[in-house]
Amino acid sequence: MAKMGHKMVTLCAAAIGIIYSAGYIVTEPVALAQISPPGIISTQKTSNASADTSTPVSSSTSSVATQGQYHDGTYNGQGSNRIGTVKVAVTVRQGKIISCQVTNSSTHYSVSAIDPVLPSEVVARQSGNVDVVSGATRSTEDFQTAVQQALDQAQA
Amino acid sequence: MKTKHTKESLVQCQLFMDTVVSIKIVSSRAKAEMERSMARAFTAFYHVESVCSRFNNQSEISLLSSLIGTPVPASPTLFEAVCFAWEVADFTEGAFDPTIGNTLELYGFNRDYLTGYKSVPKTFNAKSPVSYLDIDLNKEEQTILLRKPLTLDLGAIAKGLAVDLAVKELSQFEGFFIDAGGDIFAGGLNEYEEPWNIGIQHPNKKREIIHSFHLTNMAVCTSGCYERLSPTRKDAHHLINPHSRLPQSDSLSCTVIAPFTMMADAFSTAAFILGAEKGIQQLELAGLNGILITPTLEMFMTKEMRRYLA
Repeated sequence: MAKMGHKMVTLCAAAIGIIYSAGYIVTEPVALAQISPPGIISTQKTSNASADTSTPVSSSTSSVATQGQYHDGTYNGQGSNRIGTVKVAVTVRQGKIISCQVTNSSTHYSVSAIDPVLPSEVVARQSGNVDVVSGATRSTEDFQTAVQQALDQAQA
Repeated sequence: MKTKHTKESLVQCQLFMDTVVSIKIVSSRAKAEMERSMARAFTAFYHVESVCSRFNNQSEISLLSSLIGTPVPASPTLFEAVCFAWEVADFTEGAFDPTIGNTLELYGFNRDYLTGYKSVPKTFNAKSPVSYLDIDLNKEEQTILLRKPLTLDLGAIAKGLAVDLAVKELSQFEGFFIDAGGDIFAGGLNEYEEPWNIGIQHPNKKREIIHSFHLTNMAVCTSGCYERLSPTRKDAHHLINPHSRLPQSDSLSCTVIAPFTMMADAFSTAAFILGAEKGIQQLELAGLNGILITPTLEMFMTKEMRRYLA
């Protein structure tokens, strides 16, 4: 029995290792768009390890956007939901949506001031004073209005 | 003035794969380093989504699903992900099955969470049902061959995979957690220098937890039918049994703890589908711990799980 158990863990570890070592090419988007001034030019970037392996079937960021109608930039949107108010910043590069950052939950704070900031932390603290809650993965429907507002601007 | 040992926390929250991904880093290292690593951690999500999302018709997995009967060269990410999904399918005798995509589409799970675009489910020959056995994987050539028309769905492992890749960007920090909407990896210690305190969502009460335990350097995932209900079929949810092609009804929630998030993700789904007795048995066979909760709130646990909850 132990053998079979170890087999799955070993397979999983190997898969993760291979994927990570192969590296992935993405435009550096994502969080830095928030801390840098808007309009910063994103640079092509590979991950830590070795080679520049590009995917045989093209899904690179240089391909034409499927949606076709989003203009590059970062757009803000807002909405109210079960959690309260959420604000998002949606970033579009080369016509593709590359990140949706929840902006009223991103911050840097010293450890002495532990006020829950992430929506998930708010629920965690209210529920049972835990750090984080594992449940069936919640969908993004609470953010739909905010994202839509941002995307409407991207299409304008 | 910050002393050498003063720890600070950095948190960020982004949307990927139709869920909210929250990352927290606790460290005495420089803020700039934390921010750089945080950004790199999120790129893992972008990457996995761009390869594995069936909702994006330009993703590698969507393009693969359109090429039937021919070996298709696959990137390491897609190849390894499909391989692992195949191994879990084989281990669980098909209770977990990545060829479930078309069935999910027929249940209305076909909407892109960002654009709202709805894909049209393909109509396949119902007399020729598909399973993971219709996937041929060639390790030497790194190709994937689909023997029959089918739609691949990696929804039960993609979030976990992204978390595990993101973990590799954060392992140098004293403490961190990555929470992909409830699929979690907790690394190191929290702000109080204790293992992270994890709660299991009460399946029936949104603002409550039903159990809690401490974790360090481990993953925990929960599959539950109280989220992601079918938008088109009454009383249907997303955890479809690949054999019956019906939503599994005798489980309410299944939480699994594992050394990797991709593993916890896959096995929480498989155990949910298998139900209380067989599900827990499979977890024990796989060397994992977990708890399965039935609709009447009965709890079934692996032997070692009690020690976590004590």
